[in-house]
Amino acid sequence: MAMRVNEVASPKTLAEAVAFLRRHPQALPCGGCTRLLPDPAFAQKNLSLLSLGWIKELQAINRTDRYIDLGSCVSLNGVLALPNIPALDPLKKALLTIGSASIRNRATLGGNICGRDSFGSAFPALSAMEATVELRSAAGTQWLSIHDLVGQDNLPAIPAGSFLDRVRVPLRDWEHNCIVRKGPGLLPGDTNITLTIVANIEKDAISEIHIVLTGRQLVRNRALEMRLTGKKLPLPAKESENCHHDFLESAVEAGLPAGQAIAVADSVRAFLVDLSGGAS
Amino acid sequence: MNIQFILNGDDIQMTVDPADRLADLLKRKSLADSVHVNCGLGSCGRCMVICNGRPANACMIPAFQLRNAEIITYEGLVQTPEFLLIEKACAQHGLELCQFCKPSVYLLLAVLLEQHNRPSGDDIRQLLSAVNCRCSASEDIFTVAAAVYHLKEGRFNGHAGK
Repeated sequence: MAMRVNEVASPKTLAEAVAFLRRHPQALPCGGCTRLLPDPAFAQKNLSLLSLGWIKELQAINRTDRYIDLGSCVSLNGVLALPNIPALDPLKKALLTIGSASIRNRATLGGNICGRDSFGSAFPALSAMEATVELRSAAGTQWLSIHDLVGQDNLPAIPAGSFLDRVRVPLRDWEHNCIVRKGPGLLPGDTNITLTIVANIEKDAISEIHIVLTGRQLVRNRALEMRLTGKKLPLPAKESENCHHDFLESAVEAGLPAGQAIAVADSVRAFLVDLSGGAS
Repeated sequence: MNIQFILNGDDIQMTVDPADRLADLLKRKSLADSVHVNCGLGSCGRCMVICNGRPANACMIPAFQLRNAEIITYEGLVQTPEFLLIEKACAQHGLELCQFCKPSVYLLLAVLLEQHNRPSGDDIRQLLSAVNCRCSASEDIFTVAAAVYHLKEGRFNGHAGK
């Protein structure tokens, strides 16, 4: 079913985009439109679209010693094509799970992050990597933790009247990371879930670990992460089992179907077992 | 809305609904018979075109993003020397694709030929995954993709046709 579009603005500057958004606060910002076009939720609505793909600033990539800034309209393949930057490994692995090469040519990082009804697969990776985002609106710009894009109900919550300007990823290596995506992979958010785990080891102990699961909701058990941090490796089998149990509980509590919840909890346990093997 | 874009080297001007998709426009106006409208989700790859030098699913390109774009379809590729190289590689390896997959796979192979650096096996597999081909084994297409690149290198080294 085709969507209905009332009005489309294709500004060439950030100022024009902000001016349009001020006049049309309900306008939907879009980049490559790869989430918008197949989504039946938009089919019956009369949409006003703000197409951001012509704005050069939103396609820029800037790197410093400590972080890399990715414009929201950088394509997923644009990120994947960046020369070897080990710190981006978890993000790149997550992006490779999205669509095909031709879809990733059009899909943008901003579009993946700013899902309205579910989280894209880049979100848990960026969340685990402690990325920050810059939002732009008529009131100006503001830097936020990527977690501020998650509402009280653990659903995506992009403030109306604003659009994503850029994503800042700290250039910090994660020696151990894994991305697991489960689901049919056709429609974004259509029961797709993505698990990202990143961890570092120092002196045979877990110095830091982040475990983030997204689908329709975001699941992150910080108590579990804190409990694991500082633990000596290899982990006792009982500890891995306890982590499996705790993460399973969090996933079920977030409304994940039992089968999927068990599968991701199994992945968490498998990662911890691998981590133990790597340290011994 | 009025849009202007380049299709296989020709300037095209048309009035469209902003929500139209390129795949539908090409079919409706009979501009490219090789573009097959199938899944509408960007997953089957049978509506493959080259948009501004990169492979893209025509069902995922809304009309309002076509402004000033350069689109190449299979009909445009047929007129290029790259097409002959691809045909030769397919013939050498006995690859016969069906009418649904052939245009898309050929366009992907043409994109591969445009790359400056020799693509790795993973690069080729990633690119070819854009077409969900059911008529030929993916390994056969992979073999042809590698062969096409060798043929191209041979051409530049003056060994074409030998």
